[in-house]
Amino acid sequence: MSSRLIEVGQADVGETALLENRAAARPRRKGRQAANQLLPTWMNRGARLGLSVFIAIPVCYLLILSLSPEDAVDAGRLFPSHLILSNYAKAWTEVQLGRGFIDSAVMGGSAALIAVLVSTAAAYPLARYRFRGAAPLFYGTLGLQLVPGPMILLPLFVIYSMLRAVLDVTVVGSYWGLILTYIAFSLPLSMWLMVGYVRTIPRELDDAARVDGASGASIFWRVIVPLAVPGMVVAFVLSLLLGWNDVLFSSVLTTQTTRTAAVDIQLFTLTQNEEVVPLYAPLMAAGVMVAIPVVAVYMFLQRYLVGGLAGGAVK
Amino acid sequence: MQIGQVPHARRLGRTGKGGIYGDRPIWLVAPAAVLIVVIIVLPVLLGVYIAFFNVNVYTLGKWFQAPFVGVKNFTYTLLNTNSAVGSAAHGVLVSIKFAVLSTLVATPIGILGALTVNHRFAGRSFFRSWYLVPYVIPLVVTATVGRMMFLNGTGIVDRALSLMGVSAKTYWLLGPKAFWAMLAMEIWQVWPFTYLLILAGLAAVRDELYEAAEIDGGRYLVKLRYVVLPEVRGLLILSMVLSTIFHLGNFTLPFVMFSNPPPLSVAVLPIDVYYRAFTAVQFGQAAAAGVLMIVVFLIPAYIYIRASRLREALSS
Repeated sequence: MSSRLIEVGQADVGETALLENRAAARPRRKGRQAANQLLPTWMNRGARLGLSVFIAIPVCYLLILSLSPEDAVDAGRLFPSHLILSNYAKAWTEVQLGRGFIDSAVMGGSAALIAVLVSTAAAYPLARYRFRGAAPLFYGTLGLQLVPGPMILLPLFVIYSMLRAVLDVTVVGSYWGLILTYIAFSLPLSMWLMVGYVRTIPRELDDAARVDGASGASIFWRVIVPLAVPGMVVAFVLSLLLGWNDVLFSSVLTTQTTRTAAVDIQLFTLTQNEEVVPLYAPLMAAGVMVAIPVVAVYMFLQRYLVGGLAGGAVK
Repeated sequence: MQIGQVPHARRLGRTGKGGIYGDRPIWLVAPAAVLIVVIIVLPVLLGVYIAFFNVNVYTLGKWFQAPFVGVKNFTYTLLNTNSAVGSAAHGVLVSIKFAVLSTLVATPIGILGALTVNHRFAGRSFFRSWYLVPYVIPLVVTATVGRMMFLNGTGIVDRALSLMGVSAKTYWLLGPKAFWAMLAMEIWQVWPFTYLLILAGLAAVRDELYEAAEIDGGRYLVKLRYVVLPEVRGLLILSMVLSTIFHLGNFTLPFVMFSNPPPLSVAVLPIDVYYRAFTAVQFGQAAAAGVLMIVVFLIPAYIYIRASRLREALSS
């Protein structure tokens, strides 16, 4: 999951930066097809239409069901006679999504903050200096992304159980247990992003500060950190989303009072099996509300990456 | 990637505090290094360790006193089919089938998507954002929608089938058909990943190459075969390897989309590990399945390393 998130950030940066440069350098050719058009026009249009419909089916289904009266959902009617908004209010009360949102934000946010601070500190020496252990640390961190989630969760759970049995410390259900777990899960990703980002900060700035007599640590605080803020924001948001989207860790390490929004949805799905009155429509409304912040953040991030990363690289 | 170096640092030797280039604050890596060792490396090693011990509901709190059982956890996990999610051998097969099929279907869709939005046209930025939507919707939501779409009789899939005159009682969420329902949702949500990587690769292709192909009289097929393919081959292999690894690690989709426990046809390895650990409370066996999972993860990684070496050898 983590490497999947990396690629969004990285691909977007390269892609948009390059495209913008090209657009500036090359006037548009009139009356002829662009040389970089790779499919015949009819095929382009057909494929775009096909893909758009393919994407739209589940998205529209989600939106329509979230606005439909319950009886229309149960009957499987795709076009209900009227649309209602009450499902959204119901999702808030029945699924208790409000508490889930706060839990997701608090735990995901703290973990992301710690992961970003720690990884920015580590990224500076890793990007600038050659020292013993640098390569194993960097490549080891990359390799750790290959460890499957259940294989991180399982031993952590065993350790948490031991803490309870031996030291009488309860971790499962506490905020910090999940925060610690999320840090473990997002640290490789944010390290990778931050090392890449610090490399884009021109070395001449370090040298200029050195000439002015700055120590290594003050170069980090006064030169690197201020310039790395855009990268840190991206790493923070991507780490936050890891927590927001996670079901595996939070379904095991939270209790009723600390559940995240994603687990609320998952559990709500399960209760459908037994309940007499199914609440599919509010469930869909809850889904919409969980998805909207993420989709909005990505759309915002897309632009942020262009402005922040591409701009910083040229300076 | 190369680890960076201070200019002339080697010539100056190790510059301590007060050297020409000042001190090197290597200690800044300490918090990250400590955290990585304490909360990732040691737990994962512990996970491998308990795969050889009988850690269950009774010995969980004091796992260090659990009896050593050798490879019994592995043989039991692999072969015994009594668990709610079947044997781990079954899990390995389902996982591989799922990952390979998903990658094989999603990759061409991603390539097609990238090809349609490479050149400038009115509405390009809209399509570029729209194509990302399945990928950015949280998987738990995608899984919930998938469950609704494949509901027996009333879901949109069954409604569409009945419009075409096929029986409406299909029970997509139970039995062997569940695999195909899961595969459909996985492909839907993950193809934009390939799209992103290929689009990034296409953006790096200089227009001169296409123009040269045009001057030589080449049209689309020539451009695709002789310009695009050589330029994006590396990224294409990378995207296939990474997406195979995502598919192998996908826990949320089978966990949320189906009943609890999910049908055998979707009991992939992450589900297998989860149920052994947190429902059956057989941590030794779950860890054994987890070790198996790491081994399965290493297959695509190994193929990638081999493929990139092969490419280096061919190009030199």
